[in-house]
Parts: sequence; structure tokens; C-alpha cells
Amino acid sequence: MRFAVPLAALLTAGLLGCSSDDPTCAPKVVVTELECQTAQDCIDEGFSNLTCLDGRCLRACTEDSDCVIDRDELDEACVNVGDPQPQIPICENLRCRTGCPTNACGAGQECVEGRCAFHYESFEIRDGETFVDLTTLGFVAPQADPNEPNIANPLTKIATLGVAGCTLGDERCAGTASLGNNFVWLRYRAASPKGQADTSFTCKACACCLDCLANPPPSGQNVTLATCPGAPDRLWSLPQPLSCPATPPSECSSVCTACDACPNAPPDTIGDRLVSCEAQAAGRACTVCQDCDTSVAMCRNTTCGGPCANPNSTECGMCVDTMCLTANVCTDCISCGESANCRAAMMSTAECADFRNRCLALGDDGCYPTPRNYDRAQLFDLEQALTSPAIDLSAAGPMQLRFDYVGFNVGVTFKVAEQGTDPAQWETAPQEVVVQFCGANCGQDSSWVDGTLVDGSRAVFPPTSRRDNGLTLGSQSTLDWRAGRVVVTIPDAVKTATFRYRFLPALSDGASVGIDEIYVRPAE
Amino acid sequence: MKRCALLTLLALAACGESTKSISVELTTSAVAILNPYESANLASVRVVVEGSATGDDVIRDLDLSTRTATFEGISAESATVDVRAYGYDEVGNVVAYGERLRLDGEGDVSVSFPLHRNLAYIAHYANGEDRNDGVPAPESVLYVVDVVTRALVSKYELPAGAVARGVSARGGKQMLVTYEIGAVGYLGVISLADHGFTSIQLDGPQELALASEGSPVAVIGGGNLISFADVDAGTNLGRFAQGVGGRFLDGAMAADGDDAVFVIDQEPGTLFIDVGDMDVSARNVVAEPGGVGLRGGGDTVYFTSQGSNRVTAVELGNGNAISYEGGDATGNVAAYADGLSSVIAVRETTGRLDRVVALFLYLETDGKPSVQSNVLGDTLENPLSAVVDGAGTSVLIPARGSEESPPGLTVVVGRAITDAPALSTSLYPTDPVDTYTERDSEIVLRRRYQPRSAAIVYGR
Repeated sequence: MRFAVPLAALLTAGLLGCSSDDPTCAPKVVVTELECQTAQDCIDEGFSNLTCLDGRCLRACTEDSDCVIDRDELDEACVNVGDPQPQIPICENLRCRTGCPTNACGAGQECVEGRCAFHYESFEIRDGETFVDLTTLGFVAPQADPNEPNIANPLTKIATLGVAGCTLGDERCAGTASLGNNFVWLRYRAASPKGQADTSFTCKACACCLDCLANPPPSGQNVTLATCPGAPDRLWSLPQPLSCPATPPSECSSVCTACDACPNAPPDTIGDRLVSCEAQAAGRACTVCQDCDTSVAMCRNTTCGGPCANPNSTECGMCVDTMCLTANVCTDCISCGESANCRAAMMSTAECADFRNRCLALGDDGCYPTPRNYDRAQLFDLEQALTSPAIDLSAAGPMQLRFDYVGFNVGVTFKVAEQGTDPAQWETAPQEVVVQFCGANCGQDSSWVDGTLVDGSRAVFPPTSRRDNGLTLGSQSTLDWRAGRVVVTIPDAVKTATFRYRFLPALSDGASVGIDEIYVRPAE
Repeated sequence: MKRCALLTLLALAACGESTKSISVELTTSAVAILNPYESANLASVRVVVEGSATGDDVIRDLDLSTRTATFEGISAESATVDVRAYGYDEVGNVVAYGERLRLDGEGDVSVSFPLHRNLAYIAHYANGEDRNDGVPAPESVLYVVDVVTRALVSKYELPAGAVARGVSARGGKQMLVTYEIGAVGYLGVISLADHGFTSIQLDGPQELALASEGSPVAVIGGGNLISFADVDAGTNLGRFAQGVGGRFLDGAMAADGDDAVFVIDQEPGTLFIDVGDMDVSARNVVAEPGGVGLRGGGDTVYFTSQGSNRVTAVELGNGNAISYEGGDATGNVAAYADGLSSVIAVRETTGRLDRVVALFLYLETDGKPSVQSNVLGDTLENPLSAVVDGAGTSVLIPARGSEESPPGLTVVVGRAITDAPALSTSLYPTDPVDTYTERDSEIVLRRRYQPRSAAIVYGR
């Protein structure tokens, strides 16, 4: 026997706009309080587009588009009668609901496509703008080390769908986003083994010693000042060894002993990213270049005295370059290094010939460039990560970070490059992207804590079961985004007025991750 | 009987319409990977009851601690009732599924069936060079793959020395796998309740078995014969007297288990099997059939054609056929995706990867059966079959790959033809025993497993 439907429920449905005068052409709804036992009860009341879900006439859904009433759902006579659906509902928990702004959001929240959120980012171009990048969106890492300028990770960028027919594979033609046209393409910038060298000049003996230690000759083939640096079968280039032999080979003894006799270089010019044999070479100066330095100093005070009243001015620099560094002694200082460069480039210009002749004339007094330090090539985590703007969560209740992602051929492990370390000794680490949170002092890596997924596990992605998928940038589809939604619980301890989240990648060269549709929103 | 209108609800209790209740209990497998409550990203479970009478459908969402539901008020006019349970993840992907279809009876009904994780079981080609490396040979290992994420969940080892050929699902009850050891053919039966394994010796090595939960009798094709087996009793029931030549390309069985069809690569190309009579008849329903898909819960099958622009629908119960014709409806391996109201097929494409197409069947205003063909995207090389999950929303197409191209998995998901179906193709899941090797001075991952045949739990 069927049960009666309470009159109150029927009245509620009427308030939602189901006119009993003309139920067919009345505004359609996908949310009612009308009670039911089967869908027939809904049909009987004119809600032929609804089903009976948990005792109410509702529309079931798996995504927002399911909740949109299409014109073809209306009877033909009603197609042009008003708006078929005055309120755009959303799909939450598999059923259509009325979203915001009809249901107002709490303080500090914005209404995003029917949902309330404290923060939402889809990396799309804002209304009225013609351009978008991570900086303008506020994704700027706080200063990691006050004593060093931040090094950005240039590989992480906003990627865009691209124009029709474009060649897929870079950020300008990156294929489908989770929603809209853009998403962020997260990559890892590996450290180079040495970094960019900053050089000074050392004496020939020390250049030979460093070259010999970095490129040990065959056993018994002693290196002498007459034939070094370089070797008969090897052109010299700036040595950048990753390590130095604990015991110098006997073949290098002659030149390394001679190096000890070279004048000392000012100690404050020797950097801390040098290996020991590099430091030994950088610790010795070359007399000719010292003479050049003296000559330049005099020239700066005399010939360039006017422009160099302000020693940091452009005019001073131009004067020194054109009037002082052209002195013979300065050309001699650089002649051996430049001659080597000419040979390496197989150049035979008059200038190269001049450098070569000058270097030959200097003999054992020639000067060669040597590393005196290296730029920092190892990014701090803060620089490696994609770090959000500060978000005020000070008044928020239980919160979650939700986003969609696609992994592009992320493997299981990779070798972590460590600046100044032999690649053979680099350690293997898991490839992953970690979701981390910070509440205060976010310029310090120690302030960041790993997030946890709703099941309590550490918030890393992609899971190990979804590696090596062969997806390349541009080949992803909506399905790939739908299979990759992550929800991370935001702990109470970081819910401050300066809350930030970050995605910290540890990925191999060929791997990357796309991220889109980021919500910081009340937990359900 | 006319239903009671709500406007007369005050008199409703006295209107006298006869109804029945349906009590549903969801069970789970003892196998952890099949239990969605333990191993899937299960966010919610939805039970849908659909009676055969108009408007006789109702939905109940269960929290994850509830496994039972009772539905009152189902019209007695519904001669049969289908009950389906869907497990969804956070995003709305179907990560678990269960069903009991065509419940009949006039009184109240209680039904119990397992809610299984949406997993595919995939057999592999032999890879002889690895036979003696101490790891089970790929041809005797089934991959168990998550349909949504295409991630490798587990592996199932067949008896030592087994060379698997075809995999198929008997609803949510068993996975059937044809295999051979030496020259002896078997039908392997993997229980989805506990992953227990039994086997039935066949008359010879065969390609593909078809069975439904509606009947214990399986039909097995391949090896130039059609044979029959009682899966529940574990017995070989014998074979159709006449030999049947050709390579078996695809097959389908009606939900009630009374009828089955095979597609073979010899004229006339389609075999219709009356399971009860153990009788086989060959018919020419479409030129150069490429594959066959079964409509969910029913007995309508759809044959695609490799050589014409037709798709032919045949009702297995009565043999009635309708031929739909469209501009570019050719297709090989096929599956019917109820969620898309379309046949999903693969079309060979000269000079490029094969393309997956959705063939939407409809009647024009003048009643002419037509096909609208939509290209969804590419597979990887050598796509083998198309299988659809029980929910009818996801189609999985494994590709064997080639010397130059790795194996892969393509999945198509959609719920209505008005929504653009989404396709994604990715590489076949890697395995811990995969090895890296140098080729043309590049280090490449050598994938040990090349898929041969696939089936999805509760799928077709």
C-alpha cells in the first residue's frame, strides 16, 4: 500500500515555483522538499525531470552540468516561456543543490561558480586583463634567505590550452585544463652539478696544478710548465672538478709545488662553494694581473677621475672599460685565457693571434682564469615550490584544500642533483609533489608542515600506483583531471591570517604535474 | 492500474493501489582489493531501484556504514525490477558497482548482491624471453586494474604453465578465463567472493567464454568449436557437433543467459547460440562484422562492421534485427555504453593510430534508422577489445602495442550523448618486474606485459 505524501511537503514544492495552474510551463527546479516514494510521485506533481532521492523529489547528479535544465526538457509549448531555470544549482554529494549567491557565503568567503571558498584559483585571465602570470596572481615565494636573492624556479608556469591546431607540448599549447583554458604546469628545477662559475686570475703554475688534478694525466707523464695547462691531446678549458684527489698524483707534483710560490690572493675573494684544489688555485694570484689591477686603480683615479667621482656610476664603468682595461698589462693578463678560448672555438682572427703571441711571450708568468666561487644552483624548497598568496583563515572553521591534478609521466624515483657533489654519489629519492601548509614565518622552510589527506596519509601525489602513465603535456583529457582530485585537510595550527599552501615538487627532468581548480573551502 | 494523484492525497490511503517493497542488502568480497569499502576512494553509495512500470524508480543514498535499504511503494505493475548500486568517489566517478537485474514476483522481494570495486582483469600475451627469470610468465598472470585510474591494483596468478587467452565476467560472481597448459584447454573460474580458483577441462584450447549470472551454463568459443560448461557444477557439458572455423573476435551473452553470440573472422561472421538447446546457427547480419556490444541488463546486441557503414541491432530473444546506417559507421572491436547510448568502436585509420568512435544510433523523423559517428580520440597500437563496466559508463580498450609503441589503455567515460564523452589514453601500468634497457642509445622502459584480453567485474 502506498503512503500518503504530507500536505506540507506539497506546499513547500509550490513555494519553489511549481504552479498548479500550469505546472508544465512553470519555472523548473531541480531541488524540492516534496516527499515521495517513487519518481511517479514527482511526475504526478509536474516534476517529470526529477527523481525520488532519499524520499524527496530531487535531481541526482555527478557534476554541475547535470543540474542545468536544458530547453529540450521542456514541452515544446513552453520553450519560450520565461527562464526555464531561475536559479543555477550545483552538484554536491551527488545531488543538485542551490548554491551561492542564493545561499549566502560566510564572512571572508567568495562565491565561485555556486560554491563558497576562502580562496579559489584556476589561473585564468581575470576580467579586464589581457595577461596572467604567477606573480600577478600572488604566487610569489617569501624571501628564503635574507642574505641571498631568491632564485625563481623558471620551469613552473601557467600553461594554456593554446589555439586550435597548435603543436602540443609547451605551456603555450598545453591542452585541456580541468576547467577553463589555463592551469599551472609544475616542474622541478634540478641543481646543476657546479653552477655558474665566477672567476679570478691565478698564476700559470696554479692553473696547471688545478688542471692536472682535475684531469689527471696518464701514469708517468709528468706535467711541466712548458706544456700546461692542457695537454698535447687536450685543449685547456676552465676546470670545474666535483672533487679533488686526497693525495695529488705524482705527475702533478712539479706544477703544484710551483703553485705554492705564486703570490697570495686576497682571502676574501675565495668563495665557499669551491672544492679544495679550486680553493688552492683561487688562493694564489698572478703577478701580471696584479699589475693590471694596480694600473687600473691608478687610471681610475687619474684618467677616469671625473666620471669615477661616483665609483658606481655607469660613466665610471664605461671609462674604466675603454680607458683603463686596454692597458697592455691588462691585455696580457687575459691573453692566455683568451688564447685558449680562441683555440677552443677554432678562431684564427688577428685578435686571437695577438692573444696567443702575448701569452707565449709571458711564458711561465702567464695568467689563467680560475673559479673563485659558484652561484647558488640549489634551490631552497621555498624557491622550488609553487607558493600561494597569503590567505586569511583566522576566522575559519574546519577547512580543506581541494584541487585537481594530472601527472605527466611521473616516474617512481629520480637522482637528486646536489651542487658540488659527484653525480655518481647523488642519492635516489621518490618522485612526488608534497602539499604543505604554513601559518606564519613562511619565508623559513622550517615553518612548513606536510598536509594529510582525508584518509590520514601524507599529502603527496601522484600515488605510486599511477606512475609512468606516458601522458605528455597536451595529451591529457577531462578524464585525467577527473581521476586526479585531491582533498587535503588543513590543520587548525596553520589557520592564521597569513595562511599559505604550497606544492613542493621532486620530479625528474621529463616529469611534470598540472594543477588546476584550487579551492580553500570549508570542509564538508 | 491508475496511480493515485497527489492532489487526491487525502484519499490516498484508501485508493487501493497494490505495491511491494524491495529490501536490498549489499555484501562485499572477502578479497580486500574488491571490497570498495576497504580499498577504493569510496565517498558515497547510491542504490537505484527501477521497476518496469513507468515512474517506478527510486534512489537511496547510503552512508558508508549502512549496507541495507528497503524501498516501499514499488508498484505491483512492475513485473520485473532492476536493482543497481553505484559507489562514487569524491568526483563522481563510478569506483564500485553491483546489480541484481530482472527481479520478478508479485510480493515483497529481498535481494542481496555484492558491491564490487570497478576493476578490470586483463590477460597477457606470452613473452618467452622472460620465462626463466624466476618471475611468473606474463601469459599466466592477470593484471587487476582500476578502471577509473588505470592503476595496477594487484596481480592474479593462474596455474603454473598456463597460457591465458580470453577473460570475461560472469556478472559480479566470477571471472572466467580460457587458458591452456600444453595442448590441454581449460576454463578457469575465479570466484570474486574469495578469489578461489577452479577449472574445467575443455575439449581443446579455446578463446573466449561467455556466461551470465542468470544461468550456470557458459558458452566457450574458439579452437574450431563451440562448447558448453556448467560453471557452478564445474562440468564440461559437451560441444556443438559441427566444427566452427575462424578466429573468434568478440562475443556477448544475454543477461538471462539463454542466448549468446560470437563474432568470427569467417563468413558469415556471426554465430547465434541457443544455450538451452546447445544449438548454433550462423547468420549474416552485417558485412564483415568487427565486434559486438550488449546493452546493459538486456538482450539487444549491436554488431559493428569493418566493411560497411552499418551497425546492426539484434534482439537475441526473437532474432529481430534493425540495421542502422550512417556516413562513417565502420568499426572493429565494440562495446555498448548505456551511459552514452552509443556503441563505442575502434576504427582502423591508415597512417596513424586507430581511432575510437562513438556510434549513436537513432531514428530519423521518417523512421529511418541512422548512425551518427563521433571520433573521440586515439588508442595506442593494436587495440584488442572494448569492454564496458557494469554501470555502462566506462569503456576500456587495451592496446597490445608493437615493437615501436608501448602497450596502453584507453578509457572512454560519459553519461549521456548530450555530454561530450571524454577519452584518455595512457601507457599500460608499469610493473615492478619491468626492466630498463638501452635502445638507440636511449634508456627505455621495457614493459613486460602486453594485454591480450580484458573484462570488467559486472561488465560486458
